[in-house]
Amino acid sequence: MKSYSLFRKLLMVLIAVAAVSPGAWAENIVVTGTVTDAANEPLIGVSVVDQSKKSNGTATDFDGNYTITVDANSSLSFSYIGYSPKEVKVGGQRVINVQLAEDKQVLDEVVVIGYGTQKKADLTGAVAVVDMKEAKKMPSTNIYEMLQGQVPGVSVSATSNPGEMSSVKIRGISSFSSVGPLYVIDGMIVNDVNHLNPNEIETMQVLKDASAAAIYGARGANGVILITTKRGKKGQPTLEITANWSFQDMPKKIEMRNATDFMRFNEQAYINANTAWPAAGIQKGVMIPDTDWQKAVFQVGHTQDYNLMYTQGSDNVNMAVGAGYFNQTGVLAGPEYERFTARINSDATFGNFKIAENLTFQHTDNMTTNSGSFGNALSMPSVIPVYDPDEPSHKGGFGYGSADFPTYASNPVANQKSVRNNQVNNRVIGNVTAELKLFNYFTYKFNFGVDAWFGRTKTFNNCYTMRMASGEQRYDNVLDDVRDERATLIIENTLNYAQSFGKHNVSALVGYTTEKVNWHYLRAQGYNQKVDGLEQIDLVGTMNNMWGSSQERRMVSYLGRIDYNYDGRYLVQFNFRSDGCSKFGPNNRRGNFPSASLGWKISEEKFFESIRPVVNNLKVRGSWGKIGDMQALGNYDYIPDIDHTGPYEGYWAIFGPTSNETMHQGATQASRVNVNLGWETKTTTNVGVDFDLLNSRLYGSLEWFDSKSTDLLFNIKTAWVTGVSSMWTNYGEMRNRGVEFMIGWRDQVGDFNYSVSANISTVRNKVLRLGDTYYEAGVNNINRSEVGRSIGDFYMIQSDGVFQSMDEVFEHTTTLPDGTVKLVQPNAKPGDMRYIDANGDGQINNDDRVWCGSPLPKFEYGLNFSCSWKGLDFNMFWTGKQGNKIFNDVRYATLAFTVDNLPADVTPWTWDNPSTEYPRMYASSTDNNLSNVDRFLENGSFLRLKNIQLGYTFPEELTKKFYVRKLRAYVSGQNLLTITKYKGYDPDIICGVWNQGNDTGQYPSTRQVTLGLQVTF
Amino acid sequence: MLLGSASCGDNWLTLSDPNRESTETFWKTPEQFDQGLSAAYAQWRRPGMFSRWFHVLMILRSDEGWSESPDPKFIAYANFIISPYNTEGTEGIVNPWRETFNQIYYVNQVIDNVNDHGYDVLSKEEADKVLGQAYFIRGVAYWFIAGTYGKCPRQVSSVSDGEIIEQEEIYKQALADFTEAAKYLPAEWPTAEKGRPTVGSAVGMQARINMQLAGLCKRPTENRPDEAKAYWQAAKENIEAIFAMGRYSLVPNWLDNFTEANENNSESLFEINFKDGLTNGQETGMHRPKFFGLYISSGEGAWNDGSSRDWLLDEFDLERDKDGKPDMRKYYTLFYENPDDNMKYYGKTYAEWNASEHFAHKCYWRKYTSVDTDNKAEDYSSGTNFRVLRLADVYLMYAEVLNELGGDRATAVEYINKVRRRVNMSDLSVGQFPDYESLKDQIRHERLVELCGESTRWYDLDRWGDIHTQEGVNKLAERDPDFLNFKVGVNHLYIIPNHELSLFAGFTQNYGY
Repeated sequence: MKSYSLFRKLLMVLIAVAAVSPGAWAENIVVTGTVTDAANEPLIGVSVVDQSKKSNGTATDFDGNYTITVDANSSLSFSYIGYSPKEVKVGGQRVINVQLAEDKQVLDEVVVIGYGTQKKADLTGAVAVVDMKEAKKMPSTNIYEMLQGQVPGVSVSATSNPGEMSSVKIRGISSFSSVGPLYVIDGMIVNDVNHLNPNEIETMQVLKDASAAAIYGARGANGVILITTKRGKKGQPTLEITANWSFQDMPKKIEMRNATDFMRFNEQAYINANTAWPAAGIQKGVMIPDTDWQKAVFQVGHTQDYNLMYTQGSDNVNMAVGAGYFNQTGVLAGPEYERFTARINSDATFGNFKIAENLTFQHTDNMTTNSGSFGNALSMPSVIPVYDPDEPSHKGGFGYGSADFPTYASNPVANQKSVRNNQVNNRVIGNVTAELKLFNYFTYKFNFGVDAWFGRTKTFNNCYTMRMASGEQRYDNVLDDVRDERATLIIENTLNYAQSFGKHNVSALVGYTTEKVNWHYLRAQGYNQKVDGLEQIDLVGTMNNMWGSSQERRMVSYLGRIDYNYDGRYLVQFNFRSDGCSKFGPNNRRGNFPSASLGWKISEEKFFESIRPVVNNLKVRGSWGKIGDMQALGNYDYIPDIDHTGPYEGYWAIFGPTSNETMHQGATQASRVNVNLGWETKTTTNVGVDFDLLNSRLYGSLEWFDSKSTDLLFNIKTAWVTGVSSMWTNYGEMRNRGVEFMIGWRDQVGDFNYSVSANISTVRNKVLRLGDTYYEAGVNNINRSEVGRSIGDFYMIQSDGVFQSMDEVFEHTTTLPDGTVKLVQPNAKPGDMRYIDANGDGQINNDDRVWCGSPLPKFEYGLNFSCSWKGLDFNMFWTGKQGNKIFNDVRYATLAFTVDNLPADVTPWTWDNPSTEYPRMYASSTDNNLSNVDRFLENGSFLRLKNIQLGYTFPEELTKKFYVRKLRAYVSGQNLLTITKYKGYDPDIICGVWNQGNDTGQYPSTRQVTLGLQVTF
Repeated sequence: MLLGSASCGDNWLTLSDPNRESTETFWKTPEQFDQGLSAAYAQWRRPGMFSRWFHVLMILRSDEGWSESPDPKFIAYANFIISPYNTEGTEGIVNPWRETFNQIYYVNQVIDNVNDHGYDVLSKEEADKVLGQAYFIRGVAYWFIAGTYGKCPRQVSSVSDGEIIEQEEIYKQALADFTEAAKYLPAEWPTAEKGRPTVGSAVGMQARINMQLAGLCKRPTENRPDEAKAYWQAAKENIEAIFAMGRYSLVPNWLDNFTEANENNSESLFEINFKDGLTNGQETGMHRPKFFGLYISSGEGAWNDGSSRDWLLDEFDLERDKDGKPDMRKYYTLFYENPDDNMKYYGKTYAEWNASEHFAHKCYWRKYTSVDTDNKAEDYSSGTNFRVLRLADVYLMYAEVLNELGGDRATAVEYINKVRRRVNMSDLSVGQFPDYESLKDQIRHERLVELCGESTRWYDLDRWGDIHTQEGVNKLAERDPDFLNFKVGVNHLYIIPNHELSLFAGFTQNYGY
């Protein structure tokens, strides 16, 4: 494998560098020579190292020549990027000419594709191989985060929220429900790889186009990520231990007004609203607090991560055993994420029979973050104390709005403490495979897999009073206890055939698979614990309710693939999968998903021979295919049913006298269904070029794709007069088009190894069909999805500065079609926001919203730079998104200018200091605090130094005294620098499909400094 | 099982839902007909109907109420500047509409299935009762829609949509449903089932609708006096039919109309049954205490999203009772500064609360705010049944009908006096009312003091024509400045949720919105 060979080379260099001089008895001679490639062309910059004294080394010059003084008994090693290294005994020779062969490992690199493997060189679909060596340099808490910026076309939104997973989408949004790809881990199909320990990963491949993913048919529409985990290999047993420790803090502080400033603006607000200032009644001498809410809420978080992996192998038996422990606390009090993982992978071969297993266990314990704290930490006035012993409700003793300062903001400290939500996951993913080779050309493979997840969530709400007028007095506290489990069983039978006839190479695959998934859910809720400090359903004073349900889904699939290539030059592949799923009614149960792809390795052609020394590899490829999706749909959505539960108020008909009521539990058909629901289909065309130049030092690929998703499952709105609100329908259509480009350069100059790679991708999304009008979502329905535009575009009222005088208010008119001249904002006063009457009806309302931009980035990119010199290694990784808009709802709350705190960088309009951007303070609801206004829409582009790392590998001569083969220490920083105009905490936010780009105070990606150790025995 | 799948092929993919009953097995047993009917009943308790929004729309839009809520939407419900809020998130526009049509869908399932095969499943007596209740529920739904939105499709089938009809036709649909209900409903229910409508409920609602239709025909824009007269006459007959039943009487204690203690009593023709708190985690109480109750800044009180107008106090103060004391109804309807008395709200007098809360105006809602049962602080809901129609209302309706028909003023005054006597007010004499106008004014006053806060006022103003002339609206605006924004010919109807306009073919917004 490539990473393996690179690693070995790197190690050799490091060993060479660190060698200690063995003594003076040796006889030194001068050796010269030329290093060439297979075609006798000189190789420039080949590293030549004296193996007896590794600090002694040189590199070849422009003619491939070198000179080195060495011990006559030593040996010389020659290494060059893209070529197999060679070691030659000096044995007194004065001239040593060496021919290096191209590294077959690079050319023969095999990648995992669905239900098999393929030589990377022969790929015809859009398959991206994640460079795990680079990806692992980022101390990631989950697999998803590792992918950010690594692969063009894979978009990741990250968060540092302990236990929350980053979101991944491949090649844009092609479904209305979920956008996440399918994951296949060691051949086991799983919905997600949440909580999988990144340290267990050996390789990751991303199947981006239809031809690559069609073998996963119905679930490949959002792309497929194939993961293999570490296995034992023949050779010396290895024990690797890694440890790292991190500190995190908020990416920035947003300066807010202190108590003195706040008092001034607060008084203004009431004067402007022509209302007595409530705080005027505060008696002299009463101490008014000056709370820095951000300081009160935010803290430094810690992460520790320990991993252990033991691998051993022989000709017939290999094994890998590993364990990991991870713990993370948040940048605010409360959240914590703890993960324990274990893995055992093994395989054994006997003749033409091979049996293998992969097994991982994950246990996570997560106190989750309560939402709302990031926003309230800003909007809560500084005059409110964190704690207030005289707080009137006697529930928690926290400060909040009062008659003097009547704010409805919630105390963020109370918010974190009031509710404790503890999620515990136990999950086992394992599969056993048995392979039998038959008649030379056939391999039968049986795969049995289990993914068993047991989750529980215990939520205890202390019901502390955290805001004014929130009193919910029905109970003193609430306990919710949830048990949730999901068991997936998979059986797959595949038969592989591979044979060559002269220059014709043929391989084929057929398969038959079945899958069964069961869910069970149970929840109990009770009030008023009988014993303080104990939180159990057994101890509730009032049992409130219980809920429970179970579900099942089944699938039966047939799959097939034919690969053909002629002489390694012309490549053809057909894939087919037929999926049957219990989610659909008998009429539409089966979906058929074919694909085809073609490749031409131009560089293998005779006419290319003269160019080959420069352009080592050039391949063009194209593919077309259909893949499907059904994740949007519930498991029984095609079955018309009777609802026995009802709305929040239930279906109780109540009769009879008070306290002795007769309760009739009702039931009715509350929804209408479409019995002909069917699969979503995505048809993708992909064209790509792969190239390697200059001895594979320069490499890259370019892809263009066009995909059209049809029959998208959409819970289409129906008029409420029909008695139901929505009905699932195969209704939507969307198109995604894009270009992805990746380019890299790697080289070695003597002891100095370096590589630079960059990738950039762009996706253009367009909704082609979506109901009769449009679909709105997001805060105050600011995201509108409509035909002809990309999904979730912003539609907002346009602001037009601030009225500076009554004259301006009177001048802001609209002439109606009947000639009437109408004052657009008759109630406005100087200092109020002016809005554009876009529809010309003489008033400002929701109909004046106009298109204001898209929350989707125009392009995303990643930049990676790595280098090593002797024992030192350095890496820098940048990632960014460009051209998207974000609705900053958190900033909106602080610019409402009513009774909440305001940022230090803005000053409200006053007669003395008339602002043209910000309105006046006003202690009541006015048009100034309309939220669906373009002034809260910000540029969300950013460029972030995601990771920067400096490592040092101690000389082996030193460490081997302690039986340590490798000892590396590093220090790294994450998110240390973000270049953006965005005024919120973090422009990288996670949102749903419809409500993209709504920053409602999500947990940001935090700044982090990490210290790490890697020890290999 | 998984291995067995190989032989079954795609049949293995047929699953039934273990969580939900399939429609194929429903409407087969008497229990299931009861369940279907109960689900329709349950909608009455939903916020969109009688637990919250019915009251917000009927009280705040009328001159009795207004809003000083921090939520600007509440202000908009009251002050007629509602157009900017017509989004799916605006509960006061969306919920009444959506939940009422949910109910119509559920109840149409009952009617369709009873008519299809209900008489095979149930005895004739049982089937009749189910059908009668179903028609009654649908009648109430259309009465509510007619008095608010005033335009909708005529949904009288569970499988197909009807044509779009306007206010008068919707009232007629409701009238037809109540007429049908009256044929099937029993005169009485056993104690355990009290709260289900009776024939008296149906005839009482017929009287109401006949009166609304009469008022509609009298509007200056309609001016159809003959039709109006026919409706008054029909209402008179309805009311006399109720009297002839001999079943109803005023309860001696006026307060028994608003407490949990004596529900479904002899005065009650139709009421919505609530039960305080949660039943199996589901809300079964009425939200009025939280939305109309006293706001306390500590958070322990209610929200006062709907306030009472100060002029109501003056109306009560027009007259004292036989003992020279203020009208007792004032005391139980409103919370106000009352130095003579120890009237308490959440355990404190007006003056005591005022010391810390600095009340901005003179009175707050007390009726239906459950301060008598939940006297510490408000817990969101109460179990007090909401009386939609009670005999005192019917007596005043009778007086109004007689006056409109130009006839028997002596009887009219006698029925007014019946209502007055109970609350210790002295009798009026017929001689005080020489003409139609003078008696009408008295009826207006009596209805206000007797029924204040019982969500009847909007229908009254609509029927009396106050909101159909600029002159009438100007007078209303003197007591309730919200009416300064009222546009005659527009705001007598409420706004239709925008959601419906694009999704239902041919549906348009009400004029002027």
